Amino acid sequence: MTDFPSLIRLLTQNNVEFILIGGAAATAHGSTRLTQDLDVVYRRIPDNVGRLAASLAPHSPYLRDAPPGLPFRFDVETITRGLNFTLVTDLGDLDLFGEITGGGRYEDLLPHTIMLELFGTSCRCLGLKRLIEVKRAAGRPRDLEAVAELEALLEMKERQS
Amino acid sequence: MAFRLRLGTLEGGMIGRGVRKFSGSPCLNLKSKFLSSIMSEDRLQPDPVIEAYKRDIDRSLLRQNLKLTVEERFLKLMELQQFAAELRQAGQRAGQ
Repeated sequence: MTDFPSLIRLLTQNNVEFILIGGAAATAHGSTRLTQDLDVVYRRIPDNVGRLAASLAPHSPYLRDAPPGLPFRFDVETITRGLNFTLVTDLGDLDLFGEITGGGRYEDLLPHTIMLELFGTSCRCLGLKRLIEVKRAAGRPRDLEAVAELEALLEMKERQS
Repeated sequence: MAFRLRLGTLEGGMIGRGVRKFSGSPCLNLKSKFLSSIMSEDRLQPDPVIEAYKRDIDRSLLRQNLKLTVEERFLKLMELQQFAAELRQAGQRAGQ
């Protein structure tokens, strides 16, 4: 089980610049769907990459579904050479994206975020409309129902306001 | 809903793509241009496939969720994860 509060607190308390996306962002907006991991877009600047690596180091980050025993180190060099990582940690599954289809990088998504106050901290979350656009852009058939639910949520929120 | 579905059909399915221009009759082209012009740029372009899925969304569950705080929504998600894990384990035990 993914410990969402601990993962979010871990990143925010280490001043990692990130944006919640994916299923966790959908949950924040009111989705009822089950998601197993925390998806975030992280800012790819050296300082932030350093903070990200340092914050996760004590939590045994490892490539999800990879055979055990690989010489994998989640450090600044690995993050810099790579882009997106699907990790398992002792706090749960964490997907880190340097860039996402249809959304771009952290800086591209930043104007479309909202601030969430939760678990004694605050973090950025992709806004509902942009989240829908990004999921549409991904074009994955398994997302169709999720997009439909998010659009229904958007309609309900627009009617309320 | 009918309006949105019709517009989506006119402009074609567009999951993840820009609006595909309709190249049918001049009359329908005019209609398409008119409908596009009255759509706010802020609005999402409707997609007929997603509209079809939307009909089956249980809005009562969404209304319940919207009454919760964001934090409560995450805690509920974790309870659901726990429940799913327990179900999986029970299924495995039953299969042994």
